[in-house]
Amino acid sequence: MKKLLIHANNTPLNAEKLFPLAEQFVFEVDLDKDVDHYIHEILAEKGKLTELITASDILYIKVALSANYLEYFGLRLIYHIRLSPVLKEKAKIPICLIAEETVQFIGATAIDPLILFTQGIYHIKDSLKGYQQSEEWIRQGIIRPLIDPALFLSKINLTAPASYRSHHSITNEWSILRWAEVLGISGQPDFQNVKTNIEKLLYYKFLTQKFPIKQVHQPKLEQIKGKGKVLYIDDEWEKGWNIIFNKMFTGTGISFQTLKKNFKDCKRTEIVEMCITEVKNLDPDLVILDLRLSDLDFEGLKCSEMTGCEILKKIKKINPGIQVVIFTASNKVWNYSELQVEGADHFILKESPELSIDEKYSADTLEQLIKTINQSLEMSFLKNVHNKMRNITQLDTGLIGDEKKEFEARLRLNFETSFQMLKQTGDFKKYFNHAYLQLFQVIEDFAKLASISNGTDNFYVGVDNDEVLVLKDKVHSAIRFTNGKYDPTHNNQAANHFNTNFIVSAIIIFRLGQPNSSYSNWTQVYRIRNERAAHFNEADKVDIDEIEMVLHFIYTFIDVKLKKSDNLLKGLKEDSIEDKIAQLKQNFQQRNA
Amino acid sequence: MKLVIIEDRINRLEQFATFDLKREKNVAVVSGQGFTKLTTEIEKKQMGFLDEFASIACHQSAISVDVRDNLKTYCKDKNIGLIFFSGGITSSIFVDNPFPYLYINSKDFYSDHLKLFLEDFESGAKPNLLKLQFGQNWKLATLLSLRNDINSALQKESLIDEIGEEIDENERIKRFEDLKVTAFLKNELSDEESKAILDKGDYDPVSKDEVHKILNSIKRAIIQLI
Repeated sequence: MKKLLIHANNTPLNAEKLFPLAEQFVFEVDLDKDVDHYIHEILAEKGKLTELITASDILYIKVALSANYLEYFGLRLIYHIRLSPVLKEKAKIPICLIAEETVQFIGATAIDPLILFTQGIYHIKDSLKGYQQSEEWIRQGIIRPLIDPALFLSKINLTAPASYRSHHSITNEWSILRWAEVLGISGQPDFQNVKTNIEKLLYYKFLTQKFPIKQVHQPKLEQIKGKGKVLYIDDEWEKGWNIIFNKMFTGTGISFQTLKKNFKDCKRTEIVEMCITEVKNLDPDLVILDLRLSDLDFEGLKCSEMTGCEILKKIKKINPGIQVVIFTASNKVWNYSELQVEGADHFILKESPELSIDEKYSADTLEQLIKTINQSLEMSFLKNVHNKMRNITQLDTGLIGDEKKEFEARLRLNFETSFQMLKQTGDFKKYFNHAYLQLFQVIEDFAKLASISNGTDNFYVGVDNDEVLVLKDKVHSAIRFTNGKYDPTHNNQAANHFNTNFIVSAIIIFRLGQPNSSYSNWTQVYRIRNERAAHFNEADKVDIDEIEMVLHFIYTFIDVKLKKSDNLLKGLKEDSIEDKIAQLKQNFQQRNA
Repeated sequence: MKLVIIEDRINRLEQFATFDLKREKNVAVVSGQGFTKLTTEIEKKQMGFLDEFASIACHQSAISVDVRDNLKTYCKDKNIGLIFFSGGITSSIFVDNPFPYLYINSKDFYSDHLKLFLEDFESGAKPNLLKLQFGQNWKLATLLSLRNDINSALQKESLIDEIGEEIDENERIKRFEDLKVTAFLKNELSDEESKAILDKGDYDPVSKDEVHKILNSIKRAIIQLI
């Protein structure tokens, strides 16, 4: 059997009579280099150690490969050998671990000792006797290579490097590479750092063996649809996420922007401020938001205390219609419910190694991501709706006192109810109808205020401190319905329906001084309310354009600045005292006759 | 005696440190503008301001190769501890020769081990970087390294008779100083069997039997630690 001794000049077995120099490899880690990087170099395709292992049938490795014994770099090297694909079949080579200590002792003092208890690993004492024992085992056929790699992988476990603060950072890098492969862009230089990690670090070698990156399924992915502005906020954007999202949004009608800031040296309050400033500047329709943006977010904080959640709350305060998709590596469902309470619209789960066993998983996840983005963009109309509602609530209606207070309270309630219904339209389009009716209620509320209109038999429209008589004795009307709209008339004696259309039309003509009631699409607004919104057949759905139309009408209907006195003189004349007496006489005579 | 921490990422210090470092009177933290000024001076080899420190800890990724080399030369000349920490380090490495030098992950650096390490600064003892690397296991690390050195030397000697291997004379343990037993170890190994041997002067000869006794004493001390 060809043998190889790997040591750090710290074993008596490096005697040339036991291991000629050609059968020895001295492990000398450069003190300015990370040990995994050093091992990866010597175990590279044409690395010195690779060549020696390839020519050997058995390895002797000293448990300590540095001046500081307890570092146990020998164990680390054994893990690398077993998990390095470059060694092919030689990765299964039998290994004698040289240690003066017992296996139990090493097990009790090493960080990751499980490899000691796997196939193909043998323990010998650091002495001639120990070596002779191994020769005897070889003669007896006791020493064998690793036979069952799957069993090996199931038995070992490795601690993530300290800088990978939690499982989430691992998931991050894993996800980046997998998704880049599905998108066919993993060859770009931007993914080099992630690839370097996957290839060099022991922990990633472990993950890639345990959850192998097979031939990633590359489907024809659905395109991102719609238009608008998307802002991406993630402290790890530079690792490759930015490239992945850019690729996904290229060729679409979306303006995609990444917040290219380095959060590493920032306090949480600074990160939140930076993100919110960007949201205010860009005014995005959709924000893709990472949950953990600060190192502190990895220190066992509650979900509601995390930086991403803080930003979510502030975005929703700016405009609850801005769609926020939480981009997270956490698969803890209780996080989701907390974030939903704070207004998160959707969640995208980064792909973690344990989910990658199914080779279609990455492609399916990406498809789901695109679907989520499309759904969010579909709902981005909510931002405009909210802006319009806010503009309306800020209008001067000219109302005063209790009437003003009551109307504003009802207005806010109607808007809030309507907005909540519109949020449901992603799942149930029929909620557009409910939202429309709720908004229509605002028109009715305003039209029926005492200072705007009053009376039934005799109906007046309030204009400044005066009133215009529009309907007298339920018979005489100052407006006439023709061709689907109301126009002013001198004295229409034909019967009119005294309904919301009549009232609002009268206000439009006499309070706002418009030539007829087709002002600001009122006739359409009213027709939609009667013919579709109030009906609940599947075919009678209201759409977002119609919601925006009714909002626009409200805006132009209640603004006191739009009042005009052009038609004041077109109202009916009040009866004089003489006219009233004559009328009473006539009534009396008719009754007696 | 003080430790200086040269850190550009002050927030990380605040986040990772498991205790209030700023209240430690034996620690000077250099960051912000001070960090820039200090590294500029180190680059120019103007190192006088470091003389008051018994150990230097520096964020490795934030400094140039020249600054790193100048710090190493300075610590080697003064024989004081140098710690380079970085988030990208997967496994810590320590060497004691030619000067105490530790290469450690940032999060491990700002751990409870640092508090233990700082106890030496309070007591005036020579700072022991193994405390920073292994925390409470630092004694075990020391004893294991010593046991390995002695065991290797004894085993090598036995190879002369058993297989006729030639060994370098310098690898033999002939005098007490070859055992590399420090004052701390003398304290740890002070059992009856080894006491008389440990009282020897550095240049006093030691027999093979005595070396075995010391080795046994180390083994017993190790077992007591786990």
